[in-house]
Amino acid sequence: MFQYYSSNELKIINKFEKDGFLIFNLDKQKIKKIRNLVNSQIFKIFKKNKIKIKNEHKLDILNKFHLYIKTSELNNFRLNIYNNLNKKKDFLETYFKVSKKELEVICGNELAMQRKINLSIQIPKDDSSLLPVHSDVWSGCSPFEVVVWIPLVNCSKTKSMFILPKQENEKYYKKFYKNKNSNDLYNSIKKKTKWINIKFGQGLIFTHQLMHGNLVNETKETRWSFNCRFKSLMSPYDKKDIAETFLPISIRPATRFGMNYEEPQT
Amino acid sequence: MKGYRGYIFSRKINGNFIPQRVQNLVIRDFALKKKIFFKLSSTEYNMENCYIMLNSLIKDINKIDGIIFYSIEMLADDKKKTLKLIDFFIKKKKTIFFAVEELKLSSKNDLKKIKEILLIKKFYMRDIDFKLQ
Repeated sequence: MFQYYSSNELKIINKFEKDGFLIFNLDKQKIKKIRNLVNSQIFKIFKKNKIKIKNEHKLDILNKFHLYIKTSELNNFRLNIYNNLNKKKDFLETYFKVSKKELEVICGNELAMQRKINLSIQIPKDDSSLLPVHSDVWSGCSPFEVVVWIPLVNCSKTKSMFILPKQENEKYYKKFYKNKNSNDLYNSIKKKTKWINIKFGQGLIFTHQLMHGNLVNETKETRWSFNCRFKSLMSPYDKKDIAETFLPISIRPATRFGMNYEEPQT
Repeated sequence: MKGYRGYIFSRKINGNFIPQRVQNLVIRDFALKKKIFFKLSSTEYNMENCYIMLNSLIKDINKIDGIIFYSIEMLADDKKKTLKLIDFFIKKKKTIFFAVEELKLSSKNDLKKIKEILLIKKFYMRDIDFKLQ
């Protein structure tokens, strides 16, 4: 088969095909713009609720967030920010643009994007927002989707997430039903998982066929991260369909012509 | 405020049977979230490609602000027929909502986008396309 990729594209493709995930550098200005947006939302909500932030924490409020919020209030707080951000006109577009280059190499240049960008806040010692080991495909996502995961703080160890790299994933898929529950499953794979070490200013693209998840954040800082699914526009959808979960963000003219073609009438 | 009329199917929607009670729940929840005044739903008849109840809403067009369809999938039965009706509602400056997809249709441009989504649904590849024969 002919493949006319540039050397840069091949680098991305080879890495992604080998591991099933890729860490890449984001456009600094754009990702800072997103972080500032989140910071301003936090300050706004804190002000409304008369929560005073210590001066030394103001520049690092994301990492220090757990010092100001109770676990019981966390989900409402998260939903508040999530809804406000997703209502912003250019939020989704900026999110796409920071990962456009890698996404288009991995998925193609006609894309569908999830309608809302998910926000995850993992405060230290909190077990209310845990995602046990899973693959999104097991709950109705198409295996043709990828996830763009973007942290707003540096993440490593349990402040981050784990992934089972592609080669290991294939092995464990074959003996999947030996496990009775997700705890068993995690115990069987935990030595082979890779904890993602990623800095603010970097993004992660991964295929959610790979088993992944998180554990209780045992560090002293809060993790803030976004995730959003993308897929090639005309590739198969599963339970998360176009319109209900995804919307087209790029349709090329040839596809438009093709979809609108009608046979001459006799 | 005249309010919005719900519109549900008593037949299958894209091959799935969805109880009318569930369709109404989704519409009511959508209306509540969007702060839209919701008038009870019209239930389309069971027969394939039948849009008598949707047609009847044309008669009452001056008594409503628009229609809340349960889903965009309801347009797929007889696309030409339904899109023609929707075009009529837009010309009358009425708004159509699709509750499951949370989509709004009130202009020619919105209609173009909806048509495009229906085309993508029609043409995107199915898993079967990838299975070896």
